[in-house]
Amino acid sequence: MSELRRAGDVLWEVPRRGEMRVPGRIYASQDLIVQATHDRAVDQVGNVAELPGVVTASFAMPDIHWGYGFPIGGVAATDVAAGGVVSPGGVGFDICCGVRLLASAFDRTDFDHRREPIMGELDRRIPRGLGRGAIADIRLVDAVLEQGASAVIGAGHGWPEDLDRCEERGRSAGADPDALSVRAQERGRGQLGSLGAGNHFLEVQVVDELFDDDSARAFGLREGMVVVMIHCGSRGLGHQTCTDQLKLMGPAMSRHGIRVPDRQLACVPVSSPEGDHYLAAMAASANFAWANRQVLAAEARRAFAAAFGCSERDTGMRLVYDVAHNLAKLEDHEVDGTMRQLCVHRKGATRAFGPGHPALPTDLANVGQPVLVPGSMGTASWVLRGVAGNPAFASAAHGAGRLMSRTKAKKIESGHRVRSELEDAGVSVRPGSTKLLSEEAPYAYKDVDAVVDVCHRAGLAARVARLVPVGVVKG
Amino acid sequence: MIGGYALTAHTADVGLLATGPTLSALLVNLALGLRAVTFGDLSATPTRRCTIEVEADDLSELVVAWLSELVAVQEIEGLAITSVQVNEATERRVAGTLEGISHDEVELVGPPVKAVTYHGLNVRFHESGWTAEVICDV
Repeated sequence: MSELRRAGDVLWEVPRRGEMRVPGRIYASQDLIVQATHDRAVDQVGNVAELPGVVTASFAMPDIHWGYGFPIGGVAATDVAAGGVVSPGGVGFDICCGVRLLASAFDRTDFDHRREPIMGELDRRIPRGLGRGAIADIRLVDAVLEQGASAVIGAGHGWPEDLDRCEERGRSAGADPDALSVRAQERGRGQLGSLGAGNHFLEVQVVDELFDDDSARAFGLREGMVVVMIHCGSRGLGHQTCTDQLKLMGPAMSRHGIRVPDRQLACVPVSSPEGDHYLAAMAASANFAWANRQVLAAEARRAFAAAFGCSERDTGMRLVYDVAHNLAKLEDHEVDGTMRQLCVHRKGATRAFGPGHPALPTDLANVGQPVLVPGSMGTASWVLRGVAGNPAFASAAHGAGRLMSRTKAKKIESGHRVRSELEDAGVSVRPGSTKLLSEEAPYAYKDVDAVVDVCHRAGLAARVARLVPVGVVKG
Repeated sequence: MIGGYALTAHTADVGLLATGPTLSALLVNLALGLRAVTFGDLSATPTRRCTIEVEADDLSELVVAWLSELVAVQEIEGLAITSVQVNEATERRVAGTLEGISHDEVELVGPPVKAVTYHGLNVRFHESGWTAEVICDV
């Protein structure tokens, strides 16, 4: 078990030891740090600190928990010019998994009056669960791998202005579909426009409370508004791509003389043929993920339009933002007083650019980037905004963070009981499999309000709006 | 442990522990454990059959490659595995036959496996046979 010492109000340090090149820094309250020590997550923070070229610190967000290689909630940046590496384990198997939030023209009372038609339409329209089942035509996939979300908008899945509110405008640069294996393309081809399973969801929520009226207005949110949150990623295509790349990186590490404490942290220099190959494959997979969420959002608009008997435009379901939380990106950040090009890995962590960042949409330039933090099925989700001076390479939490294993969660309550309790609490549940609900029960996750409180106090991101669920479509 | 495999706790994902008196038996039990993560202890008359074959540079890599191929085949073929036969197994190559049914006919009892990780991977031979520990991303 790694040593931990308190370094601030909500900051804990893992001091350098052994082969660590930088210290670890974990943002957490007293309660959250105790939870983080229940598994191997803190050791993983230390392992990441051994990556070649890592700078400043191996960071962990307040939703930290045990992952594979990186901890979930891990952030690490490597200096490209100094031989810094890119690690597929710092991105994860679900490349570009992320969250998208849609506003609407509807209030809670509108939802309550049309609850059954809305949930019925979503239940019928949203593919989820294992394997195939997709909304979009498989012939779009080739264009998607190069163009991302714009390829499906061109085919009628969404509105052109959606791209203005997508990270990277829904397209990761440098994508090369030829860098993907046949297996990866076979797995993804029938899955464009599908949720998957596990912790992925489409949730209907209501804006419960505003904490920053001006920012909420800029994001297009108001108290009482019905919103739709979508959490999913690159499906089998991304999973297979990471699998393929990890296999390739075993021998590549030997060629580059790199040793890591965990094979899952396999990595190669960003500036190397193998690094180029990974980033090209990662970008193509990310483009699939951006497009996947775009297709699902368009289908949610169709569902609401059908339920309310109005046009899709009349639903007012504008995109608030779409942001990834599993990605490695080349970004410029200041390190020891000089600007450096860094490869920033966010594994279960959300990019959180503050006001003035050139990547922000024009209308949000003075506000900061929307940061989307989903909770669990029965608890709140949050909209935050990026702030200036973020100490962790412009990163914030990506969710509540799991508190207990799936095996333990299943022993506490049955899926039927979890569903019944959620329905009693006013949350309509449309599961792909009722049995799976217990693994994703609210008690299996940390307190998302506490996670957000740490983000706010640590200067990672600032509170804008709290959302509460009224309907959930689960994989 | 019942049937040569057990699912073990991991905060975000699922651990898999398998044993076998021979390498072939270990690989069969790993496959059945992988199936159990998503479909439980499935018993049905098979309607589908396919063969798979993987190679790797060492045994640990072989275990990951074997399970990764099963994950891909389950997803691409829409297969819920009912039985696994290993026809040939060395520390660098395995060939097997899968039988199963369409996964549309089965209610999921656990999450689909996205991928097989190297984290905590441990494959060892001891007096009574083989043991492997693997963590799967779900």
